[in-house]
Formats: sequence, C-alpha cells, structure tokens
Amino acid sequence: MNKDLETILASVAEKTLAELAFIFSVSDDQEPMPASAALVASSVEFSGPFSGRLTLAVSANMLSAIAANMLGIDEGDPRPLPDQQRDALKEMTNVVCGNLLPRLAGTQVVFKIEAPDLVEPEAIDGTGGQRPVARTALMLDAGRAEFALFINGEVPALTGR
Amino acid sequence: MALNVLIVDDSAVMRSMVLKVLKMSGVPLGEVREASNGQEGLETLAEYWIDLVILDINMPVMTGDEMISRVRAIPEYIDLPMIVVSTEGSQTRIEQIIEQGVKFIHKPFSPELIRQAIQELTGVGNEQGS
Repeated sequence: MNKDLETILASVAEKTLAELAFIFSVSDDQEPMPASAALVASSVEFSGPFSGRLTLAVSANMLSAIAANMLGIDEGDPRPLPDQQRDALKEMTNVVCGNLLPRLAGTQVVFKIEAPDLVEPEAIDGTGGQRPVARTALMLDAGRAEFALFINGEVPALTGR
Repeated sequence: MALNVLIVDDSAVMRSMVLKVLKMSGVPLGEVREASNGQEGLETLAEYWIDLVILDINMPVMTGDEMISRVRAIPEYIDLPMIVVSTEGSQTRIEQIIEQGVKFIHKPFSPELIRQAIQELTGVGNEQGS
C-alpha cells in the first residue's frame, strides 16, 4: 500500500461523506473490514493520464444511513427504498472519485470517469490478482465504510497536492 | 419572484439532493421539474416554462454538454440561466463548460454556494425565507 495515497484517499473520503451526506467519520486504523462483513459495494472506473477504479464497500446500516442523509430523510420517516440506497452508494463513489483524481494528478489533466456500477463486496480486495494501491476505512456511528483505490500499471507520481 | 427550476441528472438521489439543497438555500422556488438526461431535459424545456436549469454533465442518452449546446442554439433560450453541478476536476474541462455561458459548481456543494450562483445568474435569491 502507498501511504501518501492512503492519506489523500482518507482525506477526500471523509470530506465528501461530510459534505454530501452530512456524515462525520474518523479514520479507522483497525484491520480492513472483511469483504463478508459488507453488504454491498460500488465501483467506478476512470481513465486518463493513468487508469484504474475506486471501490466503496459498506455495511447494511451504513448504506441506509448514507441514502437517508443524502435524501434528507428524518428519523421516523420511512427508510430509503433499496433502489435509492444503491443509487446513493453509486453517487457517493462517483463524487469521491471525482474529487480524488485532481488531488492525485492536478487540475490541468483530464480524466474520463465512467458511470458507477454495483459490484460484489469481494471487489474491495481486488480481482484477477490486482491489489489496491491504497485502502482506507472510515468509522461512523452507522458502521464502517471502506474505500479501495486500484491503479492499472505503475503508481504515478503525485502532482496534485 | 419564484423560479421554475429544471434539475437534470441521471441519479434520482442526486436530483433529490439538489432539490434539498435548493430548499435549504432559501431561493424562492416555483415549479421544480426533473429529467434524467439531456434529451428528457430538452423535452421538458419544450413543454414548460423554466427559469433556471441545474444539470450534470456525465449522463447517458444525452450528456449535459450536448444539452447546453442544443439549448443555446434555440434563440429564446440563448440566455437561459444554467448551472452545471458536476464532479469534474479538470480546470481545462471546467473552462470549456463555462465558455458555453453557464455557471459551474463542483459536487458536493453547499446551499450558500448555489444561492450565490443563482443570485449572480438571475438576480433572484435575496428573498430568503419568503
């Protein structure tokens, strides 16, 4: 794992969760959440000066909390529908990715970010032998959220900070 | 003056979020309509009176870029206030978008930021709480 990448990933993820879903989290230095503990995951692929994907895996309570906060659903109101929960997770992944790439590569380069997709929770560990270059877990009242960044090929020099 | 707003985004949750932030901003709202891509957005524009369009860029069927181009090609909409709300982080791309005569707001965004953009575009928004 790349410590610099992990620091940036954690910072962007915390800030986005706070601003998009009004959820305030702290970095969790414990062991990564086992994929089996996650209910669902979302992944978004990007290409440009370098390519890869960002994956977000969350527990059931966390998924509901993200969607409820993004939609402004108060306690006591009906919980978000499953479609809304999945949509919220995908949008969260998309926004974190969109905010992460300029922090890694600067604002003068152009990345193409694909539409986010739902993936199996095991994708957080990597597929086809590919391992994440950075991984961060955030602890929240509602549970844990775990982000993993995959980069195809060499990890680029960080020019965006 | 209450603004009739069209929100164009392929994510239903993001459309709801934009509406929530709009309400929090205190900008007086009239009818609020939603579309899930640029094509639906154009169809809604043809059918209803819209004062302000808030749209995403990356959408299926028709992107926000194409919708803006098509809107600007219609004489009566050449000055229609439009705000792009996107995760785009490239300054090069943001400048290209702004050159089309729209405001750009980066996701995530605050009620204050969108109120300021709306005020600058329309002059409406000082009537907070009305």
